[in-house]
Amino acid sequence: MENRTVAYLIVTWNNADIIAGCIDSIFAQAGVKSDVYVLDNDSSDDTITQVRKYRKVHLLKSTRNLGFAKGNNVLIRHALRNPDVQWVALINSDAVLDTQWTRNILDYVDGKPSVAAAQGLTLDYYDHHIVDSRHIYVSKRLQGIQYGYTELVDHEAYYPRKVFGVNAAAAMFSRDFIEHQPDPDSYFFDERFYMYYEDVDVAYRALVAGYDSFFVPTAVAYHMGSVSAKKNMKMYPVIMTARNHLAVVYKNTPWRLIFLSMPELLKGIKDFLQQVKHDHGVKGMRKVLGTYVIGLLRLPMYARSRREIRKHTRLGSNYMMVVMRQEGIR
Amino acid sequence: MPSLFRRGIAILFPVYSARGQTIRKVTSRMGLTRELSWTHPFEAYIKNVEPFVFHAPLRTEPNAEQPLFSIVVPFFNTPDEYLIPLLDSVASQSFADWEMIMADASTDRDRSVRLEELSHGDSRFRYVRLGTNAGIASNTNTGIQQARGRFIVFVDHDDTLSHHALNEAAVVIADHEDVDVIYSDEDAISDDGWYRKRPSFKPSWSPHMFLEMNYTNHLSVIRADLVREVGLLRPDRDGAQDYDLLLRIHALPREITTVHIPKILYHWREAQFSSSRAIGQKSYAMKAGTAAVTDYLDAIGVDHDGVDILPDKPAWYHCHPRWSCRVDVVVMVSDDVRVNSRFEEQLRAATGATWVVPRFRCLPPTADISEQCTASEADAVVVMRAMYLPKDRSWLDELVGALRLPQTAAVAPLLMTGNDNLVANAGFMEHKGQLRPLYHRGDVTFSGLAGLPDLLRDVDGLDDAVVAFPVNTDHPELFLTGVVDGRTWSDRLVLWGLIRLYPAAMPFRDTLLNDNLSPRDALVVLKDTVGI
Repeated sequence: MENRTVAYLIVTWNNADIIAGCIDSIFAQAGVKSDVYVLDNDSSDDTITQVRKYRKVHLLKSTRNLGFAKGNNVLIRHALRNPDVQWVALINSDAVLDTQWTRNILDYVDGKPSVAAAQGLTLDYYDHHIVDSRHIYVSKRLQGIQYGYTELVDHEAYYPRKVFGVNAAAAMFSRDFIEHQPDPDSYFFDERFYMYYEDVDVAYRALVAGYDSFFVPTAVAYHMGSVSAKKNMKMYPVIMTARNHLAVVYKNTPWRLIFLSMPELLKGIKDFLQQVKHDHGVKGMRKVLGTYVIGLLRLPMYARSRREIRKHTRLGSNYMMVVMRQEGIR
Repeated sequence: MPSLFRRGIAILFPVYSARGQTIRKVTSRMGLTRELSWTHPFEAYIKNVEPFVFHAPLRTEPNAEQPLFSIVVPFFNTPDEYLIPLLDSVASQSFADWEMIMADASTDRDRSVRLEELSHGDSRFRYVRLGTNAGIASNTNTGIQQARGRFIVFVDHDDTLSHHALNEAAVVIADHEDVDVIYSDEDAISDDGWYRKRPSFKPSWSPHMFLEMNYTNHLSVIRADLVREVGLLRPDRDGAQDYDLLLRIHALPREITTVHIPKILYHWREAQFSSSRAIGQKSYAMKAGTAAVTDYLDAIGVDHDGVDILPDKPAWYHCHPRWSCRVDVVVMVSDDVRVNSRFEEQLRAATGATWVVPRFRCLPPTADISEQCTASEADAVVVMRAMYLPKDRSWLDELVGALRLPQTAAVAPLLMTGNDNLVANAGFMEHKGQLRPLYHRGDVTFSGLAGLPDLLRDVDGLDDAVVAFPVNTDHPELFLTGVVDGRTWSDRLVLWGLIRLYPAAMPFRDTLLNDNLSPRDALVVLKDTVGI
């Protein structure tokens, strides 16, 4: 038990101020051999010097910004070369782990077959009474949603359970799942997404293929990003979300569910556009509307992925919808 | 314009037609309309109330040697669409100390392979392959023999549990160390699992209602020692094997502690071929249920005239306990002797006793009947303080026979209004410290949250209008006037809903409406009978 090797993967871009805290917390993990890989996406600040201080870290440098999806894929390929690595932990550079994070998760999922991923209780870094995420799921409007986002922590009420999927801010993925991807066009994260929604895509793919994902509340991590992201909301994430939303739905959802959820899906898009109008004005909303059209035009690109994923579907569409209606709690 | 549209829809798709139901179901599923209106309050309950009713999870480690609960599920060719929701709902329980015995009797090889593969998903699942399919009771028995837990939890292979089901039961066990049987509320889920509906909020433990129907089933948690003591399930009671088991447990000569958890812990799937939809077709199940109730009555030594199945209510059993004894029927409806005796004549005419020997007596309402009853050497007494008449002549046999059932302090019939379908009194229930009438002026055919008004049920209070009780009663309050308040009694007040009494105005009205009678004569008749 004490000799489990876990590969921790971090993709950084201009995170010189926080990267040290993240790596420190990884080396403080109890009860595992850690194998740390960092990919620097062409930072302009001294992120690389910060990382170089740690001798044990495998540092990879990219000459251009690969984005989150491709960057992580590169790292996963590297990490899995070590045959001892059965678990890969994806850690955002703005996340900090509790010392027992890895051990608690591994103790819970140990011995279970067909586990895709597991995540702990991710709290807000600045206020440990606020939840950042408990899991992610696709709602009945076919939108990706973080469960528990900004709710008050209630440790008494949490218990380990099966969930729709995990939030890639701080989560473990099994080698078994990574190596058995049904989708031939994406090694793990779909690189065509570039950024945003790629963890929803992975979660959805795992669920559809009959893999299990778990939420283990005793494993605590702290995440800075999401809560502060609203403050300086730029158009870029909104545009990417809009573009990738349709791709996730198209790739993974059975036609029957798409048809039955079409009114809800349109309602969801309408609400999303209204929110954009509120945040960025009419001009922004038109831009997002245009992005949806582009997203639609991009769909044929995913046709092969869809075909393969549908071929490997093991979960019935009825139960898929039940999980969506239950907010991703299985 | 919208109203015109609505009217057009109402004409094309009437609500109470199959076409109307289908179009509403389809559009609500697509999210175009809201669901059928009768589900709204339950949806509000699911959304606003249910998330806050469960206890926080008890922190326990799984104990492989002797877990607290053994969930026993007999599987038979279970399709994935039922199997995975069930296994997920068990594996995600908020309470950890359980094991699940998967007794697999599938004839389909693929199903067995799949089930075994899924059983590796959690170390607490235990897969047991049965050689042959010997019926649901035998299959479950094999599972129970393998069980190591202190309590057995019975679950069907196409249903699902609430995530807090075992935790709630564990909290009850922690509070009452001596608890033997635990049951909870339940609801139904649609065949595809999308919708929850038909919630059944049950009364707290009511042995008399249990005689009429197996209302405590699902979620059923029973102490494992007891199950073994009565010799597990009986294969010849297939279809009602769980009812039979519980009846045999309650027939044991010692006191059985039953606790009700008033939360929905079990979701019963309206599967295409499950008993929840097609119970009318399962005649073998009803035969088994009838036999189970008969066995119970024999075991506790109550004479009876057999057990019927109510024709319009499948899986409801109507037992006829009997008591050959002398009964004092005391009529004390009015101060006026003439009114009393007139009503006594009517009552005598409407009564045909087979087993009891009735003696009708008239007394003023203020009389002290306790002395007179004990002096008359009768075994039971029926007090009539208001003018109600039966339509069924065997009412007295039924009412007095019910007194023979264990834990029965007093029995009252369902009192109706002059309008045939409205309830005048169906007993009282305690609510916020006060006795409140049940189904007051409610339609007798309309099922409320507590079920139909004409169920047998244990109540907290009875109207004193018509009450039957044994003469050597431990509760002398029964001889007094006023609402019978049994809240502090260990014995139970029973509303025997199968007997209905109607106001005795009918004969007078017949007389008054007689065409040959002049208004003046009618007034005389009225004065004569009512005493004004």
